[in-house]
Amino acid sequence: MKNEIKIMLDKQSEWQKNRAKLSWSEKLDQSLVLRATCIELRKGYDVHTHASVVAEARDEYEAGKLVK
Amino acid sequence: MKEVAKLLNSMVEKNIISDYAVFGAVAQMRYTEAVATMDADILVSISSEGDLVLITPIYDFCASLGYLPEGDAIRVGDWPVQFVPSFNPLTDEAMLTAEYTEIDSVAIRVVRADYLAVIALSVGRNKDFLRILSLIDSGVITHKEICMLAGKHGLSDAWNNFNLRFINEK
Repeated sequence: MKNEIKIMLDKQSEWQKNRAKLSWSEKLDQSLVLRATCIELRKGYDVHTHASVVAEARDEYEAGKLVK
Repeated sequence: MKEVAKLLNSMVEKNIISDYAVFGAVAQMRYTEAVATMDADILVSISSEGDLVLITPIYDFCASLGYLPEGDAIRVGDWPVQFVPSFNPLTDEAMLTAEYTEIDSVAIRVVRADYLAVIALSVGRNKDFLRILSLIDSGVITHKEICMLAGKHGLSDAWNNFNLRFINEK
């Protein structure tokens, strides 16, 4: 599970850099991963923006809470 | 979402519904960056008996194709899909004016950005207000367009309150 979160975060960083180029379909795929990330982080569905999900997830990731 | 689009189009073909349009967060993401969402919301127009709107045919049709209920939604591939019968003149108009586009080469109808914003204004939860701000930030709609459509549907006060709270422009 921890490796999966790392992969999600890496993907999100990449997506954030390229978000202006994303198609609607790609953004919907990204949304599915965001939802999965929320669930993995046990924050439920009620985390609504990409930026907040990424920021919170990255903080936890960098603090070593998610991946040792 | 391609699978959802195919399902919606086949529902129209088979007269299960007369019309549909994607709205909510999935529609918003045509214009903004991705957001986390629980499900795909679909406005539908279906026959009614008196005041009673029946969505049973939708559930029966989906079940016949192997798409089964999951909470308030029906699971279609990766997406829980929530079918929402049009519930007022604003949503009726949103469906009538919905845009034709494609998702992975499959046709799909989607509510326009101005109607997305005003529907969000009418619902009025925090995440709906965030949707309006995201749409404005994306540059796809202007304050003036929202103001005009809100006024047309009796939502001028709601728009003024939103403006005061989040934008502070008169």
